[in-house]
Amino acid sequence: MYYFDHAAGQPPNPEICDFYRSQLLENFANPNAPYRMARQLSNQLEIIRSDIKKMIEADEADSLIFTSSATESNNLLIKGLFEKNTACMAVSLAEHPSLIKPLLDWSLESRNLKHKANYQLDESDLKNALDTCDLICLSHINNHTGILQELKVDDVLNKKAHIHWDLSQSFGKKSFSVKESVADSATLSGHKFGVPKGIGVLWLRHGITLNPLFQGGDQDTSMRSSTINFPLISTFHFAAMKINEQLEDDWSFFKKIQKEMIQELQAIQPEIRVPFESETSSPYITTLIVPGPSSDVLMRLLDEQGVVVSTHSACSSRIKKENGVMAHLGFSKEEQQQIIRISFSRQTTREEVFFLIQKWKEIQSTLNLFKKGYKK
Amino acid sequence: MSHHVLISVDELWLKGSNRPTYYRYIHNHIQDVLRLYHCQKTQWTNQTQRIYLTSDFPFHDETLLALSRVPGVHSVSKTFYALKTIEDIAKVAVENLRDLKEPTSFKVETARNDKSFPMTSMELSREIGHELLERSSLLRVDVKNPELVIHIRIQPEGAYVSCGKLKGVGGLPIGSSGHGVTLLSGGFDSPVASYLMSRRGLSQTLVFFHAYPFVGDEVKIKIIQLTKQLALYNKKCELLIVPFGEIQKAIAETSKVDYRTLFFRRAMVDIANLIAEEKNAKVIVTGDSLSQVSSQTIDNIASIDHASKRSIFRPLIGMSKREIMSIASEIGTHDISIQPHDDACALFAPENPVLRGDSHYSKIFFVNNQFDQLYSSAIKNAECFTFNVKGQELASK
Repeated sequence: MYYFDHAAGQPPNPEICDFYRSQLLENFANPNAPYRMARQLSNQLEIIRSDIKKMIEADEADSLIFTSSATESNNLLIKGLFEKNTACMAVSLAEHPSLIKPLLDWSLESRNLKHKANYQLDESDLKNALDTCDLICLSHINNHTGILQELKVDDVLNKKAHIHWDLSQSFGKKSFSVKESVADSATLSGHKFGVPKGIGVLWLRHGITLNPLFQGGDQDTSMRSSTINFPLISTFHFAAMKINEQLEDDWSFFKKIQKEMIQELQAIQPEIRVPFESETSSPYITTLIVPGPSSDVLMRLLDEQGVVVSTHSACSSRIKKENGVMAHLGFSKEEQQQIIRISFSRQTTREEVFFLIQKWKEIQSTLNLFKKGYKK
Repeated sequence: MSHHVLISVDELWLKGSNRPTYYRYIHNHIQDVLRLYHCQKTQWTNQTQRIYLTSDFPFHDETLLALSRVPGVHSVSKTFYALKTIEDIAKVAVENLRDLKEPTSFKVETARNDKSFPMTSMELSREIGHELLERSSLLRVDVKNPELVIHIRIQPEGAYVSCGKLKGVGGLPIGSSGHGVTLLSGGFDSPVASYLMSRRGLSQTLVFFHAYPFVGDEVKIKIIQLTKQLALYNKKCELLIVPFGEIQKAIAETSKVDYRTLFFRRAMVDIANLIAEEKNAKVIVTGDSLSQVSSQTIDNIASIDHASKRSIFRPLIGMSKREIMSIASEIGTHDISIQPHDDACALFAPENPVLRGDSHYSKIFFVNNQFDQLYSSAIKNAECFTFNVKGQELASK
């Protein structure tokens, strides 16, 4: 099986799983308990927090909350920062639903951030939102399109808004500095870089507090009560320490792989379009528009050949084939039905990509059957 | 207190000496309904064209509705026992009209099995009608076109009163006409065709041709929903989901483009015949309506018929779309059929499908291209589901 849906979730790596298993068996104590075994875990937890903060250039005094997922982190931030219906919030409708849905539900007034012709956020609209809104949510790398969004200190002088970054797709792939990006909070996700599902992180700049969504034992600086999941947290740390090296090298290496892949695919099927520019998007996420029948036919044909790609339509819209993200970016209904997303991890190999291209070639004879000009 | 339901049967009286066989079919079906819906011990009394059910527990509306869906049932009504006096009969009738909210026109119909009763049926109806008017201010008489018929039946042991009845689907009991194989698509027509054949006493194996990978597996959910709805009108409903993608691909690769749709159709009927062999079915049923789409022109229908070992029944052949939709709404399949789904035939569809297929080419094509192997592997890999009369899936074999 050749898997190219890493943006949806990475297969856990065996080394990480072994580590997790040992953690489950050995470090089972509740870190909040008073005896020595627990105190050790509690101390270890502080080291872990400190290490993770360093990875995003955060201050030692900042808060780092462990959650169950990126979705929880985003919800906790949006709903914990303000009382319901008291704040003006801004987000692009091309963002992940775990940002859009809680934001639309919670805000008094919401602003949809606009995109420019190159699909980057429109600077003047963004500037305006930063000056007038209370909260603005951004993704460093968009999960769907791979578009890379960045902010510089100069962009945000005298801003009013709290800036929240979702780093789910970029952590472990593209370095991110909370200082340079003037972030006030950020979300990380474990299963996007090979940690078993069930863990997310919410980083908060010091001085910011949240109303908790859950009440209970006041663990995790009382903003998120829940028994500390030490084995999974320490596995997150283990994986993160390994993956945050050579980011830049790999980024350029995968740029090359991505470029080659696109050239090869276009050689097979010249009508394939690549809507997002390489300079402003991630090499790990490739979005293609493949004219012809609805792309889920292509997806299933590849699936039968042992190649997994995504059409990225949510379950509920699978039949109607609406694609909210692409719709917001101005793609037509027809184009929305022709999207294929190929996503890599840093472990993806050239051979795997070669196999994808081979299989893509092989299914052409079947795809040709649907061409209107087809004659027999 | 005991509770009664009166079921009158539809066409069984036509059947002369075959009647006991037909009764057996309908009995078994009603037995199934009671076992699944009423779940309480029930006694039966057969009268010429009626079945009386008696139970110590009240019959729910859901049970009555299920009974009304049994093919062969003309009507279903709750019946209440009363003493054989005008006063008591009227009292029982009014008690059971408590839910009446608006002024309603009615008439009384009386039948006397106990001829020793000292009044004629006409006299009784009049007297009881009079008594009802005294007791309820909402009722008014209309013997020509009443909204409500109050039915009184005088038996030796007492009187039975029923207020209003549920119309049954009528026709003949399931199985009494034999077994067929019905081609089911996700559209409006084929479920209606299946229902109409159920109503004529045909038990059926439903067959859906699943064109994976050209169509996603989501469509199966819809087909199962449709089958569950049709199961309410069947004693036991069997569904086969036959993989069809490979066959479609093989045909598309070898046939003239404009013949694709026709040949897909032909392959479906070929497979249906093979399934019919296994299921001991004597007929194929389709939802064709004359000239609705290109595969339903008389030439193309004839070419399909010619290739089929078994007769093909097309109960919708003369119906307009409006009539079909109206039945679909009545039987509850409309709202399922209307959900969008992928259609592989549309994917493969040529711009101008052939309307009058050349019979020679069709014949030669199926001689030169043997699909037997593909057919039998498709049947072997079919998924099988069975649903009971409540639409619940039975454990598959």
